[in-house]
Amino acid sequence: MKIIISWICLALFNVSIISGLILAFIYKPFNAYESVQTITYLVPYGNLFRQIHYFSSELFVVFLILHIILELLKYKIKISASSWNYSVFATLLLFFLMFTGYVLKADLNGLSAGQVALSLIEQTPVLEWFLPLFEDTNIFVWKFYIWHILFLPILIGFAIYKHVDKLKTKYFIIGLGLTFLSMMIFDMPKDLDINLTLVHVTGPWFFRGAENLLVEGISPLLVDIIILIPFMLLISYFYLENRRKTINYLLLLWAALYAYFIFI
Amino acid sequence: MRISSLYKILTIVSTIFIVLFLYLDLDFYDAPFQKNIKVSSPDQCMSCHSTYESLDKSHPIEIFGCAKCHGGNKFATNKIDAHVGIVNNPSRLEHTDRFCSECHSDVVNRIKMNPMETQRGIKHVLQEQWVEKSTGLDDKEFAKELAQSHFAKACASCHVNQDEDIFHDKSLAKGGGCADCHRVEGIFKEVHPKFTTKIPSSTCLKCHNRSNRIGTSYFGKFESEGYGTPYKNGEFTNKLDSSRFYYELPADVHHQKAGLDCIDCHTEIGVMGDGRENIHMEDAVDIKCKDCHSPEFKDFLPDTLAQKLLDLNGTMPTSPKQIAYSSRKNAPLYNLQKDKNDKIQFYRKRDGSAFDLTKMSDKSYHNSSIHERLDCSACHTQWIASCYGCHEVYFENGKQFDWVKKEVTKGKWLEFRSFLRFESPSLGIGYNEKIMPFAPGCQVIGTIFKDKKVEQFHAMAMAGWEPHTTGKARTCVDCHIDPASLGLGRGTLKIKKEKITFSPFYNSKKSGMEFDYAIDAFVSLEGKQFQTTSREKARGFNKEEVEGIVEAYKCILCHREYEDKIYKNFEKSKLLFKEGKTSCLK
Amino acid sequence: MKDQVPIMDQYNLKDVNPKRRKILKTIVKALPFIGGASLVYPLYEFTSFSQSKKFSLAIPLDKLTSPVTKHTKALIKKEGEKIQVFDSRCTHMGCILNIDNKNNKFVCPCHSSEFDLNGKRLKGPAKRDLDILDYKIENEILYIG
Repeated sequence: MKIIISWICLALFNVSIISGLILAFIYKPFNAYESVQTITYLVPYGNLFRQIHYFSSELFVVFLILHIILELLKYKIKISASSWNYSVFATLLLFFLMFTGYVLKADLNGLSAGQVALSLIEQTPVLEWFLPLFEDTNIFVWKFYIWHILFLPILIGFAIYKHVDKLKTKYFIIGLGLTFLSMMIFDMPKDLDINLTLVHVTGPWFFRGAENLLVEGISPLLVDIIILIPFMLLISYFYLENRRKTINYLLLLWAALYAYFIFI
Repeated sequence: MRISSLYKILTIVSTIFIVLFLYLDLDFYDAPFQKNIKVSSPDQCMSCHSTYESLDKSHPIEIFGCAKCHGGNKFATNKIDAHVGIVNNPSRLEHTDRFCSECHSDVVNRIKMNPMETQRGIKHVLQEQWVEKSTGLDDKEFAKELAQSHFAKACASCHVNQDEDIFHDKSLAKGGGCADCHRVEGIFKEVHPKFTTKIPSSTCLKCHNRSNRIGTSYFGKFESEGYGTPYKNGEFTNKLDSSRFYYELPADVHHQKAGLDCIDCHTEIGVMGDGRENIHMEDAVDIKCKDCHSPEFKDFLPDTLAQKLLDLNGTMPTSPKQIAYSSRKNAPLYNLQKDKNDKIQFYRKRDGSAFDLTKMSDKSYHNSSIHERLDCSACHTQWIASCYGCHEVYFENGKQFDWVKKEVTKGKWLEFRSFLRFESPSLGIGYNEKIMPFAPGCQVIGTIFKDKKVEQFHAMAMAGWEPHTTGKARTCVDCHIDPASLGLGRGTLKIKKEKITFSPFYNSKKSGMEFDYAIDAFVSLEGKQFQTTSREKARGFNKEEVEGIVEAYKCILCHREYEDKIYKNFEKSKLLFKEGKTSCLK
Repeated sequence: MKDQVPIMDQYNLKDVNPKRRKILKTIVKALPFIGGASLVYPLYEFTSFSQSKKFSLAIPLDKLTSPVTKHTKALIKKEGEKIQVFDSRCTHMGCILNIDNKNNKFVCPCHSSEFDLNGKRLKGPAKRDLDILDYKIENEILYIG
C-alpha cells in the first residue's frame, strides 16, 4: 500500500512534466500574461492542459509529503545514504520548481512573487552573488522560465533517478486519473490582472508562511534559514539513528509553526 | 489487498474516468475544453456584449474594446472570470488615473482641482460668512459645526464625482466623474453611455439651478415664492422641479436671439479647470463679453486643440482661416471663425447654425470716460434674482440626508423665503473692481433649535455676479436715480433743492429683525456698508460714489437718451456747462 | 503435492478460464494506452491553434516609382495604370524572389527557379506559376491583403 503511494507520486511528476511540455508549445515567456490567458480561454483544450499541469503538480506535493511522512514513521531506512540524500535534494528542488512555475503565470500574484524572490536573493549575504542567474531586466520571467523548464527538471530528474530503483510507468494513467478527479472537485485559483489594486497580494500557499514572516519584519537571511530547516532535519534523520524520534518531533514542531504563520 | 489488484482497479477506474471526462459533456462541472471559441477582437468581452456601441467617435469600440476602459479580464470567456476587477463607471475620478490618463492626463488632473469638484468656493463663503462675519453666533466652534452641517445637507450634493447611484430619480442624477457632464445617453446600464462634447444646457442645469440662479435666469425663469399658481385643472403650473416654481421673465438675449447653449460661450479651460486650485467661480471662468463682441483673431493651425475640437464637433467648417481666442486664458473659441474672405461668423456648437455677431458698440456714449468703471453687466442686465430675507432653520434633533456621509444623520435644515425681488438690479463694486449687479449672496437669517433653546443669527452679505439676463442697456434714470440700483434699497429718493434724502420702505426693526437697516439695503446714503461681501475687493458704493451717481440727475432729467448730443463728448459738455455756455439753467 | 493448487490461482477465485484471464490481462495492460490515446485528439487541437495576424500592406501610389517593386511579402508590377500584385514567395520551397531588372525576370536565390514578369513559371524546380494577391486602391493608396 505504502509503496503504491510513492509510485503514484512519481507518476504524478511524470504527468506534470508531460503536460508542462505540451504547454510549452504555446507559452511565450516574453508575452507571459497574454499567452497564459490565451491558453486558458482561447486555445482548444488549453484550459484542460493547464489544469492538468496545475493539479498534477499540487497533487505531487501532497503525495510527496504523504510519502515522506510514511517513510519517516518507519524508523527503518532500507535505501543507501546517497539515495536518501538525493531524495531530500529533490524535495528541496521541487519547491523551487513549484515556485518558478507560480511566477511563470505572470499575473499580479505571479509577478509579485517573482519580485519578492529576487529581493530575497538580493538581500541574503552570499546568495546575492547569484542574482544574475534569476533576474532579467528585459523580460521578467525569462530566467525563471529557463530554471522551470530546463535546469530544475534536469536536476530533479537526475536526483529522482538516483533515488528510485525502478520506474513504474504503468502508474502514469492512475496519476492522470487522480488529476482529472481533482480537476472536477477543486477550482484553480483565479488569475489577477496586473493593474488591479488589491489590499493583499498572496503568493503560493507553501510560501505563505515565509511571506508572513517577512510581514513581521524578520530579516531575509533568517527567513532563508527557516525555510531550509526541515531539509537539514531530513538529511540528519539518516545519520542520527538514535534521535530519529526527536527529529520527527522537531519536524512536526517546525511544520506546526510554519502552518501557524500561514494562517496568522 | 495485493498491489497488482489495487493497481488494476485504479487503472480501470482512471481510464474510464478520463475518457468519460474528455468525451462526455456532463453538466455538473465546467469542462475546460473551449472548442470552437470565437476569437473576437479586440477583446473577448464583445463575444457576450456584442450589442454595445462605441462611447463616441473618438473611442471606437472596434479599436478600444471594453477592457481598456472597464478593466476586467479581457481574455476570459465566462462571466465570473471576465468580471474580476471590472469597473462600472471608469470616468469616476477615482478611476480616471488608471484608465483615462494614458491619453487625457492633463484633463484628469485639472478636473480634480476644479471648484465644481472641490466646492471650495461654497466652503469658503460659508466659513467666512457664518463663522467670521455673522451676528448672534458667539460660540465659534458651534458656528463652524453649523456651517459644516449646512454644507453637508444642503450644498454637498452638487459635485462632479458625486455618487450617481444614490439618486432615486435617474434623470436628475448628479455625479459620475467625466460622465457627469459628458454623458448624454444610457445612465444606469440600460445601454452603453454615449459621450459628447456638445453638452446640452439641461446637463449644466442639473446643478446650476440654485444659489445665484444663473442657469435658470439665462432661460428667463425666475424662481418665485412657491405657490405653483395658476392652478390649471387642479394641477400646479410653472414647475421648476418638484417643489419650486417660477415666473417667465425675459430670457438672456443670447438665448432669445440665437438659442445658444452654455457651451457656446464657456470654454474648455474655463469649465474643466486651468490647473490651479481656484477657490471662486470667477477665478475659474474664462470667457468675457469682449472675447466674442470685440474678438482677437489668430491664425488657425492644424494639429492644435482647436482643430481637434472642430473635427470632433463636425457641424461647422473645419478649416477656417482664423479663429478667435479668449483674452483671459487663451482658449480657442473655435466656433467664432473668420473664413478666407475675412467674413466673421459665429456658429452654434449644437448644430452649427451660423449667426452674425453684433460687434461691441464704438459709439461715444459706450466709451466715455465717466463710465469706464462699468462692467458690461452693469447696464446690460435686465433683471437679477434677488432673494432677500432667506430664512434657514436648523432642527438639531431632526434627521436629514447627509450628502457627504451618504446617509441620514442628525440635524435638519429647512429653507424659507420672503422678500424675493428681480427688478432694478442693485449695483456695487465687484471682485474685479468694476461696477456690476449685486444681489443677496447669501443673506441668511437663521433660527437654531438646539438643546430645547432657540438661537437666532444673521449673516447679511451681498455678492456680485454676471446674472446671465443680458439685454438692451438700462436707461439712465434706472441706474442713476433709482435707489434700489444704487444699493440703498427700495424706498423714496427725494431731491429737494439739491439736497438728497432717502427713506426705505422696509422697516426691519418693526418687522422683528435683529438689525436696523432695511433688508434690501446694501449701503446707506452716506456710504455706510450695511451688508458684507465675500470678496476682498467687493463692496457697495461709498459716499462719494453715491453722491456722484445721483448728481447726474442734473443732466439726465432732461437729457434722457444715450444718443443725446451732450454725451457725444461729455467732458466738453461738462466744461461748457460749467462755463455757463449751455442753455440748461435758463 | 499434486493436489496443491498453484499459488497464483489461490487468489483468482472468480476466474478459472485461462483464456478469459489472458484477454482481461491484455485489456488491463492496454488501458493505460487507451487513456493516453484519448488525449491525442485534444493535444492535436491544442497545438494547431494559431493566432497569427493576417498579412496586410498599404502603400501610397506615388511611392511606386519603378515598374516592379518588392515588398517583403508582395511583388508589385505597375504598367501605367495597370497594377499586378504577386506573392513574393517562390512556388517551389517558398524563398523570397529577387527581381532581375536586366532580363525582366523574377529569380529565386535558393534553387534558381525563374518566373517572368507576369508570374508565369519559366524554368527551375518550381512547377506552378506565381500566386496572385488581391488588392484594392482607395484614396491613392494601394491596399494588399
